[in-house]
Amino acid sequence: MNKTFVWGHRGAGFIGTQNSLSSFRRAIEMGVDGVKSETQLSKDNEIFLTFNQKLKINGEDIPIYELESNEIKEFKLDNGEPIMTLPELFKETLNSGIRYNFDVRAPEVGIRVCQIAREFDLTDRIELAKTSIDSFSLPEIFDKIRRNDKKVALINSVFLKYTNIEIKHLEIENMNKLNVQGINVHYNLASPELFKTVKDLGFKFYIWGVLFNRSIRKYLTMRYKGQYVDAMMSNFPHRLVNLRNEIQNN
Amino acid sequence: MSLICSNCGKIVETVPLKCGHSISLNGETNQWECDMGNCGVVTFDKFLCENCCINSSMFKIFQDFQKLSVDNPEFREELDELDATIVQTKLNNPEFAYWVEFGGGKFNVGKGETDGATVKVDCSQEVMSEILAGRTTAFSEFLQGNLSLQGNLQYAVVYFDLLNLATEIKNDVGVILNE
Repeated sequence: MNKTFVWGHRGAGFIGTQNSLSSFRRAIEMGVDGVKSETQLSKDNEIFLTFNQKLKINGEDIPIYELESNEIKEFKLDNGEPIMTLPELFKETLNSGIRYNFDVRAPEVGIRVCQIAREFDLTDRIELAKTSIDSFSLPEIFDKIRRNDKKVALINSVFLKYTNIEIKHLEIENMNKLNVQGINVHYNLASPELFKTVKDLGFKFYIWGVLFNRSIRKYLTMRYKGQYVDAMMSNFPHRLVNLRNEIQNN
Repeated sequence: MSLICSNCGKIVETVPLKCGHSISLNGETNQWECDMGNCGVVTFDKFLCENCCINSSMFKIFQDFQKLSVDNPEFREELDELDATIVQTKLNNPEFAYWVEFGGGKFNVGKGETDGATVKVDCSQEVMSEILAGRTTAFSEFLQGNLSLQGNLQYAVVYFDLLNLATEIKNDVGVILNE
């Protein structure tokens, strides 16, 4: 039987400063199977790992794509560390064997992530995800990326605007056309029925946003045809790892 | 005789149906009273207009969560692991402000505005009522432009997840008590 794959959101999530090197290291110490982060492209074509699309410099909000790497590097996170680049993350965590899942909000960002992953021979260990806060259709974000890279794993995060997920929201035809492997839903919208539907359609089922023990337990025990949920993402990844090992080892 | 809302001072043009059907004279206090549903049985000098009654009911939900943080080990345990955070909420139509301080084992609520909020939430009374009733989510309302958030969004996410958790636990406890 499969075990649910554990993603540490922005590293160790709420433990310490998110998206910092120390947070990614801590997540690996916690025993996560992979880390998830957001990606932004700088003016000089470097990938930075941050949720923020703009940085406040001298009181002014400036889009990251208008900034050079050296300007972004001057910006400090809450713990004093600089915003990490993707090559820095790969260099630091390559030997841990973890996988990587990156939210991308534009095709060119995904294409650049793939290029860097190829340089590190990590294509097989990365996944690119459409974000759940953007209303883009799958082709708008994934078409160019898929044409550029036939192998990279793609994940469809369902738009958060929906309060009930219907089959039409999943873009099944586009998922098949673009060879998108999985569907990622917020835990509030994850139900046994949706899990069944997604598995019957042949896709992986991911759940994000689980934080409290109650919801973590609920989804770690959810099974269909002897299979657990494929992956879960949390800002408390240590809980997810510990409960997964406790529940799914029996 | 005009009925005046004891909270906002507005003249109440139409009394809620339930109240209209249940006006009675309290023999002990010699005061007129009526049943205002979620706001309980109130004397006319403490009468609330419908909007103030909804706000009062909503605030009571948060007061129940505060009680839950003391009485329920599961909720308390979750609060222990969260960083201390203050969320300031401002409802409009009608205006009503309250704050919630959670984390470090606590869940406290108060009316009005407070300093040092990590997150500020603005929405209508109707939107917040729907979120608390579980008929919509804060995310969905945010993405539709019906709810605005200022400050650290991560803490806003935790806050609304925490409200969901408190509601679930409260419903469970209710079931246990009813049994």
